[in-house]
Amino acid sequence: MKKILMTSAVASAMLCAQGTTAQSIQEQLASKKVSAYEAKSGFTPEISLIVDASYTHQSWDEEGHTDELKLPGLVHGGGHDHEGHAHTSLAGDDGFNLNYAELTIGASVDSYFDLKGVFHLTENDFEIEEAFATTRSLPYHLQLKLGKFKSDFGYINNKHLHNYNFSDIPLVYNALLGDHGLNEVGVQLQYVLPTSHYVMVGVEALKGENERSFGVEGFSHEDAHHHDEEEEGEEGHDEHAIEGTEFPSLWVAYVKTSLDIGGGTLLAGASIAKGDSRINHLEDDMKPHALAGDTTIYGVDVTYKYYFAADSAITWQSEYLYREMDGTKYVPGDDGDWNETKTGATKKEQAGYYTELIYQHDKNWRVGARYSAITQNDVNPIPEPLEDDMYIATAMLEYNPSEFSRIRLQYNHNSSLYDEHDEKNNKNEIILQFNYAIGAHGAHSF
Amino acid sequence: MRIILFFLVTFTALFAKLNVSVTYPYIEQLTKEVAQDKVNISLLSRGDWDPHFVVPKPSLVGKLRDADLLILNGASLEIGWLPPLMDSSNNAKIQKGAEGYVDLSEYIKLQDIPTHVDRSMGHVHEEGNPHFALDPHNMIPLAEVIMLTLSLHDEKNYSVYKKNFESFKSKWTKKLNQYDAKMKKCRGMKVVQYHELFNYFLKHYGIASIDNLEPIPGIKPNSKHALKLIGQIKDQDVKLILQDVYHEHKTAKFIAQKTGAKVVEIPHDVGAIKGTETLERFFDMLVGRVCN
Repeated sequence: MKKILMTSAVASAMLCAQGTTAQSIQEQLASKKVSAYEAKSGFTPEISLIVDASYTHQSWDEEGHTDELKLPGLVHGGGHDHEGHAHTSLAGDDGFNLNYAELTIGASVDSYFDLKGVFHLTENDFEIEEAFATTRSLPYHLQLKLGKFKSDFGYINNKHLHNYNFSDIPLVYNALLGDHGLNEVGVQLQYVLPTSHYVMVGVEALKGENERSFGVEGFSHEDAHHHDEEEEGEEGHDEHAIEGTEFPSLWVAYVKTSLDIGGGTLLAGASIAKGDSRINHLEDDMKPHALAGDTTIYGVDVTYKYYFAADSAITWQSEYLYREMDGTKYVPGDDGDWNETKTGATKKEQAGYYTELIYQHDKNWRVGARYSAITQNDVNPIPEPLEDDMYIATAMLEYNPSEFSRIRLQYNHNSSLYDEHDEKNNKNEIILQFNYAIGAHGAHSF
Repeated sequence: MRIILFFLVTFTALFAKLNVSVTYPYIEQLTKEVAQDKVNISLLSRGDWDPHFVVPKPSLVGKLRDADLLILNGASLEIGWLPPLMDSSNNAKIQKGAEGYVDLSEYIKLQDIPTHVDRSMGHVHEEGNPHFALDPHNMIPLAEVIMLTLSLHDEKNYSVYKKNFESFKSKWTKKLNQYDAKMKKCRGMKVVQYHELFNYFLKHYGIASIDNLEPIPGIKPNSKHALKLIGQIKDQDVKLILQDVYHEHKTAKFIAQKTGAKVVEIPHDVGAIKGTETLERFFDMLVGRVCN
């Protein structure tokens, strides 16, 4: 014991001595700083604006049959207003388009948090695409994100539109998650493992408002009766009313890893999204219906990049998504008569993938091709087997005059859309896209 | 028991080596000179790559995750690739503003500070030209900053770091005398370069950089600008076109053919060209190729 006390006395003496050394080192270091530099740091947040516009020329097999296009069993007819939030119809927009303006503002809040807001502006809409705080100094290599953000499910989901290699989201994502992907309010916790190569695991608890697969709000006869206000007030016919889900109704988890092999870099991930589903299409004019149940989506993704130089590379990127949706389908009787509602168990097992190859010649030129298809489309029960022959083949050529501007020529052969008579209506389109960015220098993640 | 445990923890901490991540090879070399084998160094880039466009490989996140110190060039040279890696590392020690975040540009008086910045001027750094490591006279001050920083995080080795730094200082002072003597005869020479990479070096030795092959920073040469350059080179009797390793070489060759100026490939960092694997050999080649 004495020995220990002795040691501790010596050690504390040593530490004290070191304390003064530390102070003198600190002072020496501070004296080396060039003072002029410090005046530069200010409190202005980083701001950037991205504007994306395009000219599209479409041609259809059947020009007259483009109003009620659908992906059978996945996405149905027409563009509709959903909670005041307009979606592009599956037909897409012909001619000149101002696709979006994206405003990003970000800064450190204090020594504990960073804050970032990403605002998606279209001609008549203002959307908060992301607004979240991330922690700066959690111990144990943890990071927490709070707010509305793009989920890190899969590979492409957390990317913004302008970071895509093509002008649109792949078919399988649009079919299962919609053109915004999984973009939710909630919390995210990520951990980087203490391994020699990169392994990251993350879990997210989310509100679950996704229009294609999840959804939180319940529904009842009032939704079905929207045509006929006078019938409101009738009590006691609500045995089919479905309650909303409890927060958090969607859980997402994933693991991502990376290895440097063969002079290139491999990035791979596996993800799962599991949550309650409340899909309410009772207000649709055509075949109103709703679904309540639960959905699980599994995703695997692989990316391999081989670099010829820092600005010249070939990239192969692929993702496979599989959805299992289990629930009860509600179909009101004629004229939305909720008392005549037919209910029945529904099970959907649907899957698809995309694969793309991008060659970056130098800082200016890139060329690439993508193929995205639905490979499984089982919906039970259904009177007759559903189509599962849906694919989009895409090619693009890009010229980037600088890091901040991009001109892209893209060709799509879209063989995924079916018209109101369940006939396939192929679309060929050429898109000339212009993308410009000003403001803070956004760095490129892998 | 608790006391023993406390000392065990303290001593393990005392004897554990510092993990130092550095962004460019020259920083790796300086850190090696000062630390020798006392720290673990991980380098995030390669000397033959464009320093503005390092590939942000996820494997680098693993290196940053375990870093106690991140020593970077700064002045926005890393802005296109480092921030997302730092963000993904979930390592509080090396975030901007933390003690383990060491920005070398804060210790150098930067040149070419623009009075007005606008993207129409190309890829201009508002802090000033970030390529200060190309001046051999900046090596001793930078080594001293690294020495002090390492000492601050690893006090028990302060004397070792200080001793190593002093021996580097005397070795490098001799080198500088050699370089200065050699460069004297090239004072007043005129050159053009591809990108404003070598300004600090050229300015120090009184060599005038007339213009760049890039019309504006970060933008590819065009024929209109090349024609203007050809005229300038002829009028002002420019002898050398300084070509870095990572930009295309065609434009320089074309202009050389039209004017009789000589194209020389110049390393911009340690390891950029074969035979530049150490700091000395790198500056030997830089000096030898610009002025012989």
